[in-house]
Amino acid sequence: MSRDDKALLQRFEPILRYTKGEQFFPFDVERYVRKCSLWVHRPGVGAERLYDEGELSLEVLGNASAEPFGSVQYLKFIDPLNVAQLASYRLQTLSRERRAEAFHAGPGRLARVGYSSRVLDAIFSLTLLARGRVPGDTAAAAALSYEAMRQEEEKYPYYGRVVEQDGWTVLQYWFFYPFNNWRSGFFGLNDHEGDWEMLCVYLYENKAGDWQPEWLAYAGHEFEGNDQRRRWDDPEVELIGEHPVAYAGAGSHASYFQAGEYLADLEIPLLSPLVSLAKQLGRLWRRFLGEDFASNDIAEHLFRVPFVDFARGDGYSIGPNQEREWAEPQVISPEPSWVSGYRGLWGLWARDPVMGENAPGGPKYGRFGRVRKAWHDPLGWTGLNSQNPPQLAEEQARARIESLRKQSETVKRELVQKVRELRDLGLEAEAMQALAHMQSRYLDHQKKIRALSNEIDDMQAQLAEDEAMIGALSQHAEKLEQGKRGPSRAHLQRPQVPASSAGMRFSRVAETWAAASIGLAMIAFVAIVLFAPEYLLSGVFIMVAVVAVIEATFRRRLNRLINLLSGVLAFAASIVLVIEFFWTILILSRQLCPLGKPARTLELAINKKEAG
Amino acid sequence: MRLFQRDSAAANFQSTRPWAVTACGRLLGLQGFALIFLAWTIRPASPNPVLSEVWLALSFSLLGLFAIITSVSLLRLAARARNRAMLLQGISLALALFLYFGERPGYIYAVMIYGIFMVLYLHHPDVRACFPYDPINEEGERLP
Repeated sequence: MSRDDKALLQRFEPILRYTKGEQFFPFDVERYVRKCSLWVHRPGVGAERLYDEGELSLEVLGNASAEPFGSVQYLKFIDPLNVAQLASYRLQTLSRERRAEAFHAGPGRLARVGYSSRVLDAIFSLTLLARGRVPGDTAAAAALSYEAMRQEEEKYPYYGRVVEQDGWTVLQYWFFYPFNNWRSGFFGLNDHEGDWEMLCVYLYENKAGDWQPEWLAYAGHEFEGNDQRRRWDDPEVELIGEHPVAYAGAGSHASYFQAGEYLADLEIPLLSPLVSLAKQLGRLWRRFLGEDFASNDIAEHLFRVPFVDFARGDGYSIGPNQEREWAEPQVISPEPSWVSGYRGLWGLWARDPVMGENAPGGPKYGRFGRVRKAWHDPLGWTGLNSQNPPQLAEEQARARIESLRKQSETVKRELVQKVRELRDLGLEAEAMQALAHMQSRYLDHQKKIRALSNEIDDMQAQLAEDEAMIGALSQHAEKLEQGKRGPSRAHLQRPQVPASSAGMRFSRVAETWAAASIGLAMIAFVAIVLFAPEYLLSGVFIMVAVVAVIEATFRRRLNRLINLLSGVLAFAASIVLVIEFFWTILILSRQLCPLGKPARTLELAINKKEAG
Repeated sequence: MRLFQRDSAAANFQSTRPWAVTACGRLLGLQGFALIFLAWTIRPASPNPVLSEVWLALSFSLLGLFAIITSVSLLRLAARARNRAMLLQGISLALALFLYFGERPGYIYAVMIYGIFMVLYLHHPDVRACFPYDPINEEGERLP
């Protein structure tokens, strides 16, 4: 079938739903680049402006010169506002709030996570002072500049790519946003200039020669793997006609299948040993006390900084027959020079070692100039490499059955030969029995018989397994022939689901407590150190216990906390007892245990102690 | 005629109660009386007692009373009896550890040993099975 890429992209183009308060929408890269300057930072030299604002175009960007090792090429979109401009912008925001267009967080991220995460959050916020970051008023400047450009010409473009890979036809929809204001606008993880987001539709050509969508994958926060994709008939997938609906995270622009508020964790590599220690302790707890509340999930989330990605979908919608429609798609297959030639960043390089505040690379290249997996291997990016397109699956199953049958026939022939050999050996061994002069040969035969028997056992087992596999494949092929498919969600392991505040008894009180608890605890600690240092240990213990009890009450986990604390106290008390009564325990164990080698060693130690 | 006629509910408790729960309840009762006895032995004798001695005697008395009440509720299979028993052990162990890092009187080791034993015993599979974390009634509502 001849393929019209533009028509195909338009047929399945998505509908993006945004959260109220979203300030940046998909934008034209040409106009963005014209507003930018191009810079390079060379090691030992510093930053140098290559092209000023207005001098740059996509063509120029595509022909950007190669730079030495360690250099970073980047665009710079905006300069921070001065005080007057910022004040004027804040006033505008206030008036917007009066029109109820602004974003309201509701019970925020802190109320949904434990206190260890809150302490880490406080530390993480402090590190922003030391790390490179996008200045806070840059978001305001970007919003003003973007608004001005949008008013000049309001259109919402996307960049479409059509790729053939192993029987699949992949439609990639790339969206460019001039700014990511997740941190400054929506209490998120980071701010950065330029933001590329993408979603994929996986098609195959059915027997009637029509394009049939089978899978859908949404990108978000650089995640990849099976959990990123859903089958077209998955109940979680929202479709309007042939157009899938995606909910964009406020400020972050990550895409989600369902409207809601998603908890995104930032893992801190430095703390991974603590996570594994917590997991080990949890396993021990489960093994010895049979409790299941010290699960791996708790251990995994214990040392992570949590952020909420608000993808409520209560703001603007862009897509076919929505209040805002897509402009004509700009097809980027074959790749234009600005896609293949520019390996730099699409916004400010903030020199953030954690990378979150640095602008991203383009659609093809990541931050380090390497080709993104989603670009060079769209199937592998979502774990689709192991899946045949449905039009090929039945054929593939029949071919596999045929190949297994041939393999079984070969094994059967070999088996007949081996059984014959084994019987010959058995016969010879039987003949040699009780003949003293043939003892060594008899023993050699016995060895051969054992080896051959094992080999025959393995072959029989393989035959049985192959038969079972042929049966399973035949059933599967019949199902495919009848157009039946397996469960749509079997590939999902830990799919992202919207966070729920149902577990919070008093959401406002809980949020207030979540915001204030760490600060109060710190004040109490300082007060103990200053005014009652002699009670430091017991004071800190009581303070931690009070915080934990209040927290557990909000989360309806008071019973579990009591169990956990009692267990920990029992453990501490047993350590005290061992320290206090070490020699008594040793003497008792000597009297109770029979004298083995370790006991004798103990006895020597005890005798030494008694003699001393 | 029997002098003490047990009602059917009490008889039902005994028939459905695993032996581990019965033993646990009786051990709790014993702990309660022991704690009250301990409070009596360490009561301040002088006419001007030190404040900490009064607090300590009072704490052990209250713990003893709490243990006896919890023992009864455990034997009657009350919904949150195991949690209360755990709380009791937690408080008594915390008190013992607090004293260990201070005056270090001799009896705290007995309190510790008994507390550790009870914490382990309260994790017995039969005891845990009788008292789930979030008990609900037949209508699916959480019990108080």
